[in-house]
Amino acid sequence: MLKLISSSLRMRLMLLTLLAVIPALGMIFYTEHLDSIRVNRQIQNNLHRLVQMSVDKYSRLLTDTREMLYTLSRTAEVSEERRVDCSQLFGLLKSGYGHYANIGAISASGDLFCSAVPTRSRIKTKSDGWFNKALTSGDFVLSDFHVGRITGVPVLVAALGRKDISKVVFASIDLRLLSHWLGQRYIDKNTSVMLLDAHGVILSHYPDHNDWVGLPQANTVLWRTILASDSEGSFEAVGSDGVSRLYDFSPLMTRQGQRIFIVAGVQSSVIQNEITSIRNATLVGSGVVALFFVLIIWYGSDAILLRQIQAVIAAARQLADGNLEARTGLAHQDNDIGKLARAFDDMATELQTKNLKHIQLGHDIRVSEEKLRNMVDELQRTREEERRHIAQDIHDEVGGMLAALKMDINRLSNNLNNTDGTAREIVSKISEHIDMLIQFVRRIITNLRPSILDNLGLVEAIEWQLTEFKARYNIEVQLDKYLPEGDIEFKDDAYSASLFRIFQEIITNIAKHAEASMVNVFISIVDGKFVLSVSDNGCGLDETSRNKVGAFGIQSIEERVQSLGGECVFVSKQEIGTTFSVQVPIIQVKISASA
Amino acid sequence: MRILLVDDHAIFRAGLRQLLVEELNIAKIEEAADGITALNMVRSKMWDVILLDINLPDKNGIEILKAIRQADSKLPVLMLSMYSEEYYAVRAMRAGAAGYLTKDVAPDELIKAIRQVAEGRRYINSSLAETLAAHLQAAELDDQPHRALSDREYEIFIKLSSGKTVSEIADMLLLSVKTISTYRTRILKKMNLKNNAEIMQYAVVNKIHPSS
Repeated sequence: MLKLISSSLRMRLMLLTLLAVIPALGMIFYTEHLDSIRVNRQIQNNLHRLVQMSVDKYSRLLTDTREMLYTLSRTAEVSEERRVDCSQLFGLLKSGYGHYANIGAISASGDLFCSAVPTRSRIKTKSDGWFNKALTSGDFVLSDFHVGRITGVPVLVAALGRKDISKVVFASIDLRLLSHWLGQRYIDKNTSVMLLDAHGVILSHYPDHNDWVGLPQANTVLWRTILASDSEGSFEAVGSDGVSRLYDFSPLMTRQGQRIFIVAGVQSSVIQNEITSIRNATLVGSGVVALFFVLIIWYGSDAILLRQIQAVIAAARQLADGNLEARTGLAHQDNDIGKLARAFDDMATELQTKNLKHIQLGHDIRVSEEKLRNMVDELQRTREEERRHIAQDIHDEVGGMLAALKMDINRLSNNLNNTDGTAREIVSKISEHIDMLIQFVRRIITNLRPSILDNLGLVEAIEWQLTEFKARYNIEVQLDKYLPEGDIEFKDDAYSASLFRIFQEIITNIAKHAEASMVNVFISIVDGKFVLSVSDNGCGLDETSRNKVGAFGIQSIEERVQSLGGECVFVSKQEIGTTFSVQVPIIQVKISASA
Repeated sequence: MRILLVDDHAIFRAGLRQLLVEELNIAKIEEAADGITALNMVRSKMWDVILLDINLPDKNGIEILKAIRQADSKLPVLMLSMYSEEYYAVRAMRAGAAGYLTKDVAPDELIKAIRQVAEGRRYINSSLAETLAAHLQAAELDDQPHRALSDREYEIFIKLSSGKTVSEIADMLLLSVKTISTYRTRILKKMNLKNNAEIMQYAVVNKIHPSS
């Protein structure tokens, strides 16, 4: 992976940009963090406000209730215990206040003498805590959670005692109605509000009041935390239903150690969800931003950098492949890429120029080599022609003259008087000298240019030369010639003489170096080529001595064969011998008209 | 006796004419300086002997000789050349010459040769006889076909008969495959055989072994 990243310029660029983007991303995540804190706090605040509003509301309810009870306690119906009138009055009142389950008055003996809700039997409240408390204190007290004995519903009893007349007036607040009341304004289904009495029993709960009412919370973390705090507060805890919530609470009343608590809670998971959704939004946003960056760099780098770099790379590759025409094709602007392109193109131009010079140089060398070869060929040809001329001239002039001279001397000898011994001796001596001279001239002529070559052709000349060779060096020779009838016609008449000279050089080399006792010559026409193979059974040449000893001879033979448009093969093995094969294309084999 | 001297060298012709006149008392001696002239004269006139040089300005003597033989197959032609006989003589004789002499021949022998040739016989002196004999020996054919092979051919024949392939033989003899193929074709033709199998069979029948 690291390798991949470092290998690609695009990847490196991307890595660099991503590094540059990291602080921005950090900023985004920090903001997200702040957001979640703010959301948390906002939820807390809402909860707190909810609790405070509820506290206000219930305080007012209790204050109203207290005032109502106080007013009722002052009425004659109560103080005089007028049972019927009192119950009527209270009944009227109750119908005007929906949240009271019952309103009643109790005498000091615990006798319920007045009740808004009619009672069938006599209800004794003597043992009720709130009754005694109210009676003895002559103050406003609240009961604990309580199921009304008359109404049969869960109630909270608010009672006011009158010491002077030894009466207690009470109003039972219908906890069911209270619950509706609590929840009326708070639509959020994830928020719950409840009322706890001094012993931690749920007086009212929104929502699902019936499921919760009367449940004791005294042993829960919730209650313990509330008790530990003397006033209002906020905390997170797991409720009795096993759900974790963020709670806010506030005591409703703190008189005579009697406390009712308003507690509101929001499920922690809701807060968490809120935060998570913010985080997700941030993550998606960051992802989009990152993707955007990647796309911009991916395509942008192409436009501003990579395309140019690629152009340089492509041009370099073409150069490496030998195409010196290759250029980057980029504008030579005054920036880094432009400078690189300019430097590269300049280099390529320089290379191309140099290469052209080299090519030109190579061409020049070939031309002069060609010239040289032509000159050497011309020289050979001229030399051969010269030799032929000289040989011809010597033959015609000197030879003819000598033959005539010989003829004359013979005639003179025939005409001499038999008695003239001295003259006869001299003439005989002259005749001998002329014979020697003729032999001498013959040898010169043959050495210059064998007449057989001109008169009978290449193959006959080779055959003759072999005979000469055998006689001179005492080396066995054998000729195998497989030729059709007729004269071999080469591209040029001079080829025959050249091939003959080549043959002479080959066998001269054998005589000089090969230490052979046998020479085999093969002559044939194979595939439209004149083939001449000369093999000896001599010592053979290894590579090193080939390069040293006979090298010059072999090289000159090779060059001469090449100038005839042919090719030659030199094979040598120590202890076996050497074969020199020459192949020269022919035009045709012409059947001689006179043959 | 009517003699035609064919030689491009005027002085030599003059000397020869003198010699012939003196020695033979011949009335009619004519001269030609080149081959074509000589051929025309042969066709237009009757001759008893032609003395013909090999080195002529237009065509070489051997070719003129062949042309003369075509024109008149009985006309004796005596070759008279500067070149030694060892090589040209055999070709000349093969081409139908009646004799071959070098120009430094003794007058007596020349006259003798002319006379002999004019009678329709061939003139062969001792050195020419030796040369001819050597050539005859080389061309002599044995009744066994493999004896007609050259040394190299025989060597290749032996290798073929022992089952060597053409390219193996080429490697052994430092020759090209094509050269050996040419040899093989020639051997089969000379021995009137068709393929390598027949070569092997021939070797077995004639008890030819690689060592022999």
